[in-house]
Parts: sequence; C-alpha cells; structure tokens
Amino acid sequence: MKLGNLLLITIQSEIYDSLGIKLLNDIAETLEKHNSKGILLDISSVPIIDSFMGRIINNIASISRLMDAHTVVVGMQPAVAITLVELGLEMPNILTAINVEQGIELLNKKITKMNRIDEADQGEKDTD
Amino acid sequence: MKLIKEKKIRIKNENDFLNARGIVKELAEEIGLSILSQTKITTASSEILRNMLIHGNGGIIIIRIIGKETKKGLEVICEDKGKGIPDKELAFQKGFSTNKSLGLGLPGAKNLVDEFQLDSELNKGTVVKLMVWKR
Ligand SMILES: Nc1ncnc2c1ncn2[C@@H]1O[C@H](COP(=O)(O)OP(=O)(O)OP(=O)(O)O)[C@@H](O)[C@H]1O
Ligand SMILES: [Mg+2]
Repeated sequence: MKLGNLLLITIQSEIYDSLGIKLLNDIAETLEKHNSKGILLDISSVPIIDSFMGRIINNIASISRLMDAHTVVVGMQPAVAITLVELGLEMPNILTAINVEQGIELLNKKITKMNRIDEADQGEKDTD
Repeated sequence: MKLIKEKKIRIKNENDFLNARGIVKELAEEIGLSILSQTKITTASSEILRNMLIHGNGGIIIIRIIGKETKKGLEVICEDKGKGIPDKELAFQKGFSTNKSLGLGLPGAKNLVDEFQLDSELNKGTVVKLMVWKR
C-alpha cells in the first residue's frame, strides 16, 4: 500500500470550531474522491483538545469507517491524553500511533487485513 | 490572598474564545504549573468558555494569578448574563445537555481543577470559578 492511498491530515495548534466542522466535510469529500482507505490524523502540534475537538476527531473516525476507511490519530501529547480521560471523553474507535511512520504501518496492516477478509468472502462466493 | 496579576477579556465570538484560552495557558505556564496541569486548566476553561458562548450568549472571563502564603494559584472566572441554569444538579450529570451535545462540559471541567464553583440564577446569568494551585 502506497502513501498515495492514505490521507495525511495535520491539525494546526489552534482550530476554530467552524473550521472543525468544515474539516469533517472536506475529509468525507476527499475520501470519496481518492477512494482512500486510511486517514492519518496528525495532532502532534495540538496542545488542547476539549470535548468539542474530541468529538470532531471521533466523528472523523466514524465517517471514515462508514466510507470503508480507517483513521489513526498520530502524536497525541501525553498531557492531552490524560486530560481527555479525566474530562470523561471516550474515544472507543480510535487507533493511535506515536508518529507518522508507525501510523502508516498500522494503517497498512489494517487495510491488508480487510482485503484478506474481502478476498476470503469472494472465494466463498466463487465456490457456491 | 494576594492578587498578583489580572486579565479581563470580553467573550463574544470564537476569536475571543481562542484568545482567552491562550492567555489561560500562558498564565498557567507563568506560575510554573506542569504541562499536565496547564493542559487541564486550559481544557476546563475551554469547556466553560464554550458554554458561555453557546448557552450564555457570551460574557466576560477574568484570569487571575493569586498568591496565598507561599503558593501561587490560577483563578479563572467566567461570567455571563444569559438565561441561567434552572437545575444545577441536573446540569452536572454526565450526559445531560439541553443542546443534544455530550453533556460533558460541566462535569468534565469540574473533574479537571482543584476548586470549582458555579452560581447561576435563572434569567440573570451564570458565574463559574475554576482554581488550580501550583503544588
Ligand atoms: N453558561 C451557561 N448558561 C446557561 N446554561 C448553561 C451554561 N452552562 C451550561 N449550561 C446548561 O448546562 C447544561 C450542561 O452543560 P455541559 O457543558 O455539561 O453540557 P453541554 O454544553 O450541553 O454539552 P458539551 O459541553 O458536552 O458539548 C447545558 O446543556 C446547558 O443547558
Ligand atoms: Mg458544554
């Protein structure tokens, strides 16, 4: 799997709420246009994630799942992770990686696994 | 208790909101809070500021560095003249929202700070005070 099939999104340190919603739309469109199977969401330069931003990240992951793609959140700062837990925001469907390289590796693993399951399904149908 | 520094900012839009949040972080750093404590108080302030914008029609934030004996603290006060909160106990329940949102802001913010105080009067407004101490 090439990086060409993955979508790398870097979130800047401060993001307006309205921009967050626009981001969601842009991602959905880009996923469809390029038929991407994975999103790398780089938040390594984001110092604060409150419930609103957290929800946007959750929504990005949900939307990508609906469009048959996976999201890996890259580079969440430890203080941000702890704060999110204490805030009470759950991120049940989020895959995380320490850096972009590991994120790519994780996504490629996920995607190959999905392809294998697809092929297996296909195989079953063929023998019917 | 001694007031060492004070900043007041009017909050009317997202821009004010981000600016105020930045100043909370700055002053948290100035009194020597750890990165984790800085992140907690800034995130808590973010929740309360957002409530003020969404539910309270905007308002004023007062950010203070306070000295008490040998320790320093950061106090964040958010004041609005909005519709107020009819049932405070209910508002603090995780998952309660009049906005179809997650209802995380109030209980979450409370959990992130050393001291938390909410005063609200129906149709008069809401005041939320957050406090963290440098240990
Ligand atoms: N400043 C305020 N003025 C009036 N009502 C408020 C104010 N702050 C909070 N509330 C009320 O308290 C409820 C709970 O607030 P809380 O921040 O926990 O949840 P929320 O803002 O609805 O959702 P979330 O913060 O998860 O997006 C709100 O839905 C609102 O009805
Ligand atoms: Mg809220």
